Amino acid sequence: MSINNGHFSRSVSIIGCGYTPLGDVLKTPEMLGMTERELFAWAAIEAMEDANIEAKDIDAFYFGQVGPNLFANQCASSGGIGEWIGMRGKPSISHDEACSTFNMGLQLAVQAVASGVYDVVLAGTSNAAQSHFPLGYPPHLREKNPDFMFELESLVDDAAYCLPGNNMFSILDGGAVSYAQTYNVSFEDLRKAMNQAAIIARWNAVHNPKATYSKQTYEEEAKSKGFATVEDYFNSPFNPPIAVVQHLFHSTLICDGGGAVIVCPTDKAKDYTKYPVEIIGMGESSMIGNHVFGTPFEIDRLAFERAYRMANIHDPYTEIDYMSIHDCSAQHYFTTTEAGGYFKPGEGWKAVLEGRIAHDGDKPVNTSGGRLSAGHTLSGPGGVEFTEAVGQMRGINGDRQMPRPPKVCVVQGYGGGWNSNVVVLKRSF
Amino acid sequence: MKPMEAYVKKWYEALDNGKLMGMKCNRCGAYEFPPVPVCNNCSSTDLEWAEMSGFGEMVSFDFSFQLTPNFAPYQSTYHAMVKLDEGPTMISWLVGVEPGKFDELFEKLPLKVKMEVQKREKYSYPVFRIVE
Repeated sequence: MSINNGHFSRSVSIIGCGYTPLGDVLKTPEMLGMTERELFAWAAIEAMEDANIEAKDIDAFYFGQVGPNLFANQCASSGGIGEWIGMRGKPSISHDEACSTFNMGLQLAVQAVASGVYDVVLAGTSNAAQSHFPLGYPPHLREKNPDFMFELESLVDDAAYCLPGNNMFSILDGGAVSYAQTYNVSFEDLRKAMNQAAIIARWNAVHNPKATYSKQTYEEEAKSKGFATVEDYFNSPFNPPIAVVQHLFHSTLICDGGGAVIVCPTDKAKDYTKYPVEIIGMGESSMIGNHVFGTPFEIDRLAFERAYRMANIHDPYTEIDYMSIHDCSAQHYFTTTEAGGYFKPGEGWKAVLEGRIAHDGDKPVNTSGGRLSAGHTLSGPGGVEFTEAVGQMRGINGDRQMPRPPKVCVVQGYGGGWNSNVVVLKRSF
Repeated sequence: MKPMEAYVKKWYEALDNGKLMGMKCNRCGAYEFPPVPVCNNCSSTDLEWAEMSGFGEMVSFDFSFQLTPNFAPYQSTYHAMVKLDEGPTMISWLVGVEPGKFDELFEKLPLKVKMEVQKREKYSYPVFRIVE
């Protein structure tokens, strides 16, 4: 399938980014009582301060939110939420690409700047999807959602021909089963690799101050619950199976939060910051991805291929220093990284098992703690992921900092099987 | 353009009558299942309704321990990932297999399956059953 996905009419760079704490507006002290509006404003203001600009300097913004009617009783959300960041009257778009929402908003912002329509654009998201408020009530009067809200078939499939009982767990587990079949790996070995991915993700999250849910590493948590080893803990009833390969600890941690990134033309970026990050490639694919199964997912393969062609990346294994992937299931650490060529086909699971994806490994992945352990805001984790990648390039990520700041990073988002989205970043300082 | 049809309604009504209907492209011969009005292979809008054989190859599967509430009464938890003989891919329930037979199923892949229509309270839906 060929499409025109050639080049930017002018180069675009990230000049600022930020995100909120990742937690629960019903429980987490620093975000208690907040709505989607405060979360978006928090992230956007943080990104503006990072870019040393104010709202008046921004030409347009894109606001993403997963299921605005489902979770926030709101249509055309960007029109109202612009007022919360001082952008009344500015151009805006509301959009929803499930868990790839943030990543898509950034691509739209980059396209707007690259085309010359605007100079400075903000892309941001927020969701507080663990709770909702009844129609006719203000949005701070929230009630916790039942868990099934995150397993609605319409989040992962066309409601017209909705598959019976299909949900994210089963779709992604199907990817792991296909991987086992394609590369002749046992379920048990894959499960061990997924355990290791979860352990590393948790370590990263514990060392990310904004990941409010993760207070203990899995080793510490195992000990506190009386287990001799972390393996015993993973094999215990605390970690029940939820699919063929996947167990509970291999699954995403849903949270509330927001994120934002600001972009401008590369030739103006250093007017704002000493540390701009150039966007050298973008690729996207959309389909009912869950119907086109196998390993890697076709939707991911297409998105990576398009982004790499634009970025002139020929050998991702050697040319990419850091990869961020959508990780709502631990199997993504080998399936999606392989789709992106970060690991050779069939070798990703071993690389994960060997710990090479840790922040100080030779192939770091998702050093923020990821959607697996830092938290998954549905629309917003892209904000975490771009901030993390930019932070790694700047060398400011504290205990999670890679020993050598990366030169080229890739950030991928995967939205419910609908949208796969890849952005290639290059350090320009 | 050809008059637009109520594809979704027509598909479910055919299922109620025990028929698995897809679309066949008159330009390239590719099938679309479930039905849509434009061919995703060659972009033609010249498609016609065609009954599917129902046969296919289950190339992979998954299993959900927890179903969403609106499907909970049906209690089936395997999902078969099937490449239909006519070309399209489809995921639906795999019926007739006991829970927990993961390794056994895995070793036998790919498995020949056939679609059959399962009646529900207000509509019908295709599911798969192993035929060998």
